[in-house]
Amino acid sequence: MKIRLTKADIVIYISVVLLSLVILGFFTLSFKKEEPESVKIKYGETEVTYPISDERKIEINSNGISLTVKIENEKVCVADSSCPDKCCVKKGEISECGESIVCLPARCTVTLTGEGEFDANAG
Amino acid sequence: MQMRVKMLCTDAMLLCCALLISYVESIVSLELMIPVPGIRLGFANIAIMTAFFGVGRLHGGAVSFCRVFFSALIFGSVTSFWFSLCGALCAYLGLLFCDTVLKGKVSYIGTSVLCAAMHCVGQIGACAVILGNIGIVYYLAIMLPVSLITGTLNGIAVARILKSKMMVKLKR
Repeated sequence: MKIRLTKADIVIYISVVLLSLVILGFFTLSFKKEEPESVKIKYGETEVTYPISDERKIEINSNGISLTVKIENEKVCVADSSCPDKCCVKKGEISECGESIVCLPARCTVTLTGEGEFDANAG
Repeated sequence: MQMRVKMLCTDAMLLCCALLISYVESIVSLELMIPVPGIRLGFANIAIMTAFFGVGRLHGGAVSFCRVFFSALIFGSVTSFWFSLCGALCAYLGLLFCDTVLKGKVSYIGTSVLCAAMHCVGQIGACAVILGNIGIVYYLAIMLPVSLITGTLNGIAVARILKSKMMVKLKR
């Protein structure tokens, strides 16, 4: 094993950068500049959708963890969570179409989508 | 016989280092500087790479697996165990790839960068599968460039350690 940088190292560097650029490009292209219309919350086998124009707090119990998702001023955030790392709370507010908040311990994702399909009982 | 005891002790010592580093990293994480959830410096990989190149391939794998197992047992959860295991497995595959296919062509720094990148890919892959949400893959666009930096730092550290006289003595 060599100590100094070699050509193969540079190839590894470039391929990692390329991979991240490809992912970045793919997601920027697929998230078109549409206005977000709905908030999709998925946990376990359950999936619920709310309009983003709502002002509401949603309580979720998933995988033994309770989460509070807050929709306010067309922005969404996880206001409170009983998970140990609080990554979802630290993520803050999201407002762009395609953005998402993930809580791994609760196995819950909150995604903003452009489709205007809501649950019949959510309106 | 003496050699085997020496190897066992080195493995145990490196495992302790790796566990300690993971613990410290979980308290003082890079998240404070870069606001991406779950971002880590990954210095535990220094210990694993030292075991891999300084003691033996299987020793590296054993230290890596034990680190994942014990860190989940002591300060993690079942969920975090599977994520870490996926990441560690991918990183180990990266190590094996560098030590077989790219043997003699690549340096410690390149190996470490590949490991860091593979670790990210493994963890994010596990997240995407468990949560059934492909959107998480987007995080890779941020985590991969960060892994370039952390991987380079780790690689320099590993090269230093393996060059030191203490490690040279261990090799036959």
